[in-house]
Amino acid sequence: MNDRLRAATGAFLTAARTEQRTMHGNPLVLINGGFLPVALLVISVETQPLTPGRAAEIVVSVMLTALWAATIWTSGGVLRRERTYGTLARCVCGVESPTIILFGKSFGATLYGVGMTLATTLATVLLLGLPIDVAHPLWIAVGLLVVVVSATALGAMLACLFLLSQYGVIWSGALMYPVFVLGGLLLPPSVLPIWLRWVPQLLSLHWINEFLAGAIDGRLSLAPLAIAVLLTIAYGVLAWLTFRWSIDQARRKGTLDYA
Amino acid sequence: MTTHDLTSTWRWRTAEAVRHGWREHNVTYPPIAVFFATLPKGVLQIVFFTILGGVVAGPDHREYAFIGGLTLALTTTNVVTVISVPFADKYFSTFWRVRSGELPAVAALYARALPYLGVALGLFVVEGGIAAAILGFGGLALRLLPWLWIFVIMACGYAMLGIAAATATIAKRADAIAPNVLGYLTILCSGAFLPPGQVAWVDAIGSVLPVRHGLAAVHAALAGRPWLNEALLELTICLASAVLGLLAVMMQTRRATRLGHDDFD
Amino acid sequence: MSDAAIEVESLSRTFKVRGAEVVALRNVDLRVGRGEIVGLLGSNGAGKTTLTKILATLLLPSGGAARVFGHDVTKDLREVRRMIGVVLGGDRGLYSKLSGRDNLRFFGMLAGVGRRRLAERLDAELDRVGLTEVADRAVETYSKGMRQRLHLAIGMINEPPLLLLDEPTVGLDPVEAERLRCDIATLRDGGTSVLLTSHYLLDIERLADRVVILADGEAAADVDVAEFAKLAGYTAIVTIRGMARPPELDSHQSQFTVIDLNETGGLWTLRLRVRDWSVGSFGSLGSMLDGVDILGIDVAPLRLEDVYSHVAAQLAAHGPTGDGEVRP
Repeated sequence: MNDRLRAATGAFLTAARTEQRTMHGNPLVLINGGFLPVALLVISVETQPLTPGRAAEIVVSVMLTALWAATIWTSGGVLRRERTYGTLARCVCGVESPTIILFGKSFGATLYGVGMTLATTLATVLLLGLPIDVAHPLWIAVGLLVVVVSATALGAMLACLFLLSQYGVIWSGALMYPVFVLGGLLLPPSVLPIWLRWVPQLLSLHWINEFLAGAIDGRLSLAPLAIAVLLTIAYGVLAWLTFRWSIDQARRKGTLDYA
Repeated sequence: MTTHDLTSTWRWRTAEAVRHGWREHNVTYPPIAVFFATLPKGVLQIVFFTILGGVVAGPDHREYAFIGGLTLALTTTNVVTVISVPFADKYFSTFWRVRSGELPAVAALYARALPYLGVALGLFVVEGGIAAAILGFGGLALRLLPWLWIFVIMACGYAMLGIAAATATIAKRADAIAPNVLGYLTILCSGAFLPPGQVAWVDAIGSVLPVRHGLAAVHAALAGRPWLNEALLELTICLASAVLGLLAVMMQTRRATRLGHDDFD
Repeated sequence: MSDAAIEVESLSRTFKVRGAEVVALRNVDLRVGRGEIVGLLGSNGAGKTTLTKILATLLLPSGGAARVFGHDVTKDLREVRRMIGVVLGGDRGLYSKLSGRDNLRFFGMLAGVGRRRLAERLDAELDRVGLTEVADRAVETYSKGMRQRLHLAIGMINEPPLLLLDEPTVGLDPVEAERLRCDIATLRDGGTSVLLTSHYLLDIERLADRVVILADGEAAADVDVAEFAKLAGYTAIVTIRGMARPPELDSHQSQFTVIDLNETGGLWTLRLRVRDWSVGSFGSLGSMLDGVDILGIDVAPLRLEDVYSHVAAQLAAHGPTGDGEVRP
């Protein structure tokens, strides 16, 4: 059992490291983790003056919005990249469980995306001189950890789109704005029609948004964090099931090798 | 061969390139993806920026943000697909045939891009209509109709600058960055969301890019102010973008002839 | 118009790779007559593709001159492009999401085929290369052989008098490769001149009238195919198996050269190169093997692969002579 666990952990970490190396110099990380937070922050804060509390809310929302976009293209693009390189078949037909490989790669890509988004957001906050005071920095770190895990699971789920359709790039691009609008991040649920206000509750990033905003301005509450963790587990299970089914379908249709 | 024959031959070649572009478009962006992915994305983009405008800048900013959202959907979601044309020649290693063909390479590129532009404009009208209905801006949408031609100029300028940026950077593995940078610069500097006069460096960058002046012309026209100068500036930038595209293709052709690399690498 | 399909004089091409100069072609002279197939041989990096690309107007030379039917490849681009068909082959160079017909149509238009003529040529070329039934399928569903045939159809769509073929049979199975060779031979019979680069000596053997060998960017040899075989200095390899005492060879040295002699447990195997294999060689072998216990004799006629291996080894040891000759 220990050997199996060790082997699985090794495979997970190797997959993560390999994905990080392939992400080196990948322009997608720069685009979505770099440019998007800058663009959204500037247009959100420069339109009219902000109070410190409101500035903090916007910064967290922008960061998570940009992270969602980054997730789609970095960890969500894991399997698409494998297909382009012609390595997909090897990845899913190896000795170790393909799900471990998928989550490992998604984790590696997510670390890159989160790192880039965080760095760019912080740099932009400093450059713009936004007034932000952090009340609970340790809980911020915890929240960010949950962000990484959640984005990994979300990315793994999205990655399966590329096994199901050769137009995965187009479908993925279309997923950005539904979450921008309905995710309860930059647009609070209160501006949505009543019949749509339940939708943000399905997104872990919305709950992390609430938690982080509270950790910054002192209104700390662990309930949103707990819900985010539960949702993350649900994403992970869904990703696992979807991935197994996707591989099966790809084997049936003979599309594992199509670039 | 008479002049008439020559003109007729060139027209036919260009038409063939347009036809080829249409075929390329349909396999890269099949109707099912256009209707169920691109169309909703455009609608939601307009809705997002409109509501965001209200959230960060108050209800008075919603109309302004709606028009900006329309433009962003037109350019960064719809028109941006034209970069598939130079990308196809990269990924399929067909540029050597395009640059050694009877039709000048830039003409072949632009002709193939035409169907992408046509579909983008058609989608734009539909997206705008749906978003206007969702947001209750039907009246505003109707008032914008006579100024559709300015949106067409913005779209053309954006398309050609996108092709120029993609073609120029394609050999340096920056082909994904250039069009995306253009997209984010458009969001930031075009005045689609942030009105002119708020941030100096944003205004400076936006003044030389497509969309900025066209949007200013539209806002001026709706407000009953003079709009012609801004429209002419937008047209000028559109033409400049076309020239940049020509220069980018010439540069890549020279590079390929000098180095013998015909797959853009 | 010039008598020759291709005339190359002192052609040179240098590349800068990470600051260092790489000489791909060095003062190459070459001539391809009308209706002739010339095979261009050489190891990887010898300059074959560089030469082909220069002739195809895709690459500028650093020095020297090259003409296609009298037209300069650096100045008369349009005239040259109308007279050539280029087949670079491989999996790339086709819009793989589009059909074979779409690819042929677009590239035919670019190749200068007129509107009315294109419609006729499309069907004719697809039929000639046997792709009519799959013409409307996406190229990504084609096998390697089908893609190569599509490349050939594109190369011929404008009915050029000169075809530049760069490794046309690479990656094809023997049946597909033979089919492609037949297609090329038919074109030559119709008067098309061909410059063919290939690693496969069977292509040269079956198709070429002449062989040019490139080595380190220089033309190391330019000979008829029949003469090419003589470059090896022999025409057959004889393998003799026997037991007890192997034969004495001194008096027969002029005809036979020993490759090797292996002796194990009372049995021996002797391999000989024969300079000029003929009926008389049997007599010489007979007198040589008189009194020797023979178990078997095999005679293997020279293959061009053997010639090329021999020539390549010589070139590796001594380099090109600079006068276009390889000493056997």
